Amino acid sequence: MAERFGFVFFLARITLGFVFVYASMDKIFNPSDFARVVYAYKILPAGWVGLVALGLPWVELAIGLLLLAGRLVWPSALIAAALLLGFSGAIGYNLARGLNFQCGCFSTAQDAQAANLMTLVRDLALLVPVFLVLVEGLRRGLNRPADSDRPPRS
Amino acid sequence: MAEEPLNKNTIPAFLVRQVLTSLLIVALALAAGLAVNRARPDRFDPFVDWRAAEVEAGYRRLPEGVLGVKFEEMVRLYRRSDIWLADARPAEFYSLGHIPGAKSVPLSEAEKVLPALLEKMPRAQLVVVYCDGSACPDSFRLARLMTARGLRRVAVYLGGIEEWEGRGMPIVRVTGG
Repeated sequence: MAERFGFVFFLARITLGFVFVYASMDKIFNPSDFARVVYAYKILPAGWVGLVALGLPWVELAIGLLLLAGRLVWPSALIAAALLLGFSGAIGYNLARGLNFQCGCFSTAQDAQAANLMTLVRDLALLVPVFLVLVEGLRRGLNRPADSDRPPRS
Repeated sequence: MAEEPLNKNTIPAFLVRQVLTSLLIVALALAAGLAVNRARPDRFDPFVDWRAAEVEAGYRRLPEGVLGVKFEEMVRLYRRSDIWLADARPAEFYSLGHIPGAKSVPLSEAEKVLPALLEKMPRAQLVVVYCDGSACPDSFRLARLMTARGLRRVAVYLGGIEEWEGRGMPIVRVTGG
């Protein structure tokens, strides 16, 4: 029966892939601007900011490309889940304490709009396709170990 | 093709394999990021003291017509009685601690409160705006709003409350009644 939803899983994987590749671009080209955004979250120790700002976009790019290519889909979706939960937690925490900060999700521009509740909702909404990919990947991985990393196909 | 039944005994092995693969992807991505950064002509130093670097960088991206004030200058200005100090942070943060003498002008309410505040203020009044620290954009935006309303001497103290308090300067808390 799950085969009937093959297109939904395919769409979830491709959507996530595009979102993560797109999200990584501006940050990869402007690491110091992204570091400023990360610093403004006031969550990480100052000494970690540069390393996170430099590495995080590359992790996003890697999982985005892997999701698009349909390779290592399950571990990529697992990383996506961890990232989205982390982002949502950080955004929610900062919104709760009234901090005025930029999301840095897709743009590092200095005058980008400040993060708000919709930013948090969007990040949480992206967990839905991640969940779909994880569940389907788990089912397929357990049923067909030799094919465990293949994405669901329509 | 008929599906095989789920074998729950394979779940831990599957998860361990996938988590290890995830860690490998992250490690390789980080290595790629560091390698590309090393090759860039405008190499970014990930181990820089970000706080100090950000303060310095802030002075280079001040809005047009807005001055930058460094810590030593801020201390000197603070001891003068003729400056007008504005705290651009949300009111809750102002209550938790602000520079003595500063007025609370939260950016979110600036459009509403600025006309009345600036009505009797001479255009040449020296105004210093600050917020949390170098990375918070509120002081820039408030300064820009003030210059747009005709004030000629608006400055941003980029170190903000973070540097001010961190350097042992006095702050005032608003205690609830």
